[in-house]
Amino acid sequence: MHHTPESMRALRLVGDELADTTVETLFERGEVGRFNTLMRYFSTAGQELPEGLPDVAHEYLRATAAPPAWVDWDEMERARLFFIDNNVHVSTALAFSAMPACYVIPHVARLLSATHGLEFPSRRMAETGQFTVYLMQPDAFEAGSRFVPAVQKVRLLHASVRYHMRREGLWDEEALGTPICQEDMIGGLMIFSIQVLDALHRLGVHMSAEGAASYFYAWRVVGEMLGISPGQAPADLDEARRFSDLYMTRYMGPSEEGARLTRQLIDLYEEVVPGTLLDPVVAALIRYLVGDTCADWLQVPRSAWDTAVRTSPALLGVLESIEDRSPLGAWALDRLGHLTTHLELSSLTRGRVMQYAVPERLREEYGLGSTASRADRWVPPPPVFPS
Amino acid sequence: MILERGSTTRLHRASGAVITVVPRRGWGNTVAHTGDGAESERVSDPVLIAAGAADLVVEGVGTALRRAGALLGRSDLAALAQDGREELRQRGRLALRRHARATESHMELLARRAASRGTGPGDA
Repeated sequence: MHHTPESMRALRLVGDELADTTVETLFERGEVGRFNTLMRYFSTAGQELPEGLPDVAHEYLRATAAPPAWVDWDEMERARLFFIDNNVHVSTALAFSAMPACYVIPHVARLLSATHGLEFPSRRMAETGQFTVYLMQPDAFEAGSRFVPAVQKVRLLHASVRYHMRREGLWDEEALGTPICQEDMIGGLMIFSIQVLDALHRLGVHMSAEGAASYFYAWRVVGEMLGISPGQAPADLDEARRFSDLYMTRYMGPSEEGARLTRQLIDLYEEVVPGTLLDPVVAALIRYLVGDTCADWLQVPRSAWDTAVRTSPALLGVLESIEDRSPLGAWALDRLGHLTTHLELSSLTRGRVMQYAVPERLREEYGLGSTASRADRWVPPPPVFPS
Repeated sequence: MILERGSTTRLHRASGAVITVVPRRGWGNTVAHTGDGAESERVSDPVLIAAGAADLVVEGVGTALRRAGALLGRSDLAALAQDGREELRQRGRLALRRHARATESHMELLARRAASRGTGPGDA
């Protein structure tokens, strides 16, 4: 859909009716605890629903079990191949660019700090990472897949955040509309799709136009499964550029929460990076990917590494050339990428399976206050600014 | 520097080193002009090349030694080291500029646009 600032404003008032009704009913009937317990046993598509599951949850899980009817499976297969080719780059872009991009939208930063807790960003990172890995499995949309149940649970998780933010008066509805509204959901979709492609481009990753388009397509499918109203998400990368630029330029700015979340994120990554010598690389890479203005808003520390990191596209360019020219080199780098991604993910999940449970209360559930610490190359479309 | 005793050819260079070469049987001889007014005799190619290379090394070493000697006598060693560091830094900067991308990140362009429009946390 071709959006204008006016059509986007209208999206601020709309949430996700199906999931919202389900969650409200579960809370009204006091069935959230039972639901969460039983849902731990429901983790693969096609599996029989656990006995004793509340009726409303039953109906929700049936209604959301299938991907949209319009899905082109050849396109999805191309997306999967794109992810296999670029998995380590995509993970890097998600971690060092997409997460800070969420924090640069002040109302999103405020919502995130109210939900996943200032001291505990690793949980959301682990959930996002596991979600992406599930999405890119060959059988993501088949019986036995872990992806579809994960989507169903995340959609309810978002609905429960809406429920709690409203009930606890943590959200200024008059100024900001509905919490996790349609505009913010599509904005999030842009951050994880076209903005990740922007970051890959900045890292010097060689992408085909077909690969980039299919990566975006896969996220568009996921967006609809996560509750974006059918037909509302941008249809292709050009429309995505327009939506993404309008959304970002309208809202992006500094905030106390954004800076604090970024500090937590950097600390978390520094824990994952072995030793301390390379710790400043984390901040330098974020600064390189999001640019100085955003990095200053988020108070990303400066260091001598800022200059050194700028050579990373040149270094990556060498690896990419090897990959382009030699099948053996491509295979070796693929294996290395695969290992790196899994190492990154397992250091975040620490062996847990993320359950995406519906939080009964925001702060306790999320640990707030806890002390735990190629030939046809694609280039991003130019910025689209409102006149 | 003497390559071999009892030679028939001597080459004099500005460095003061004397290179003595012996023509050997079986090698193709050629006429070598040293250009410094010394003897001009028939010298084989490989010998001439070896002599040239040796000369180059000797000149380099000689110059380096003279510079080192002069250096030790200087009182501004620290400033000199600072200059050297600065030169390396400048070289590094140029090298990085050669390799790094000149373009800004897309997010940076958007952020500047947002900042110029005065948008911020309260404008949502």
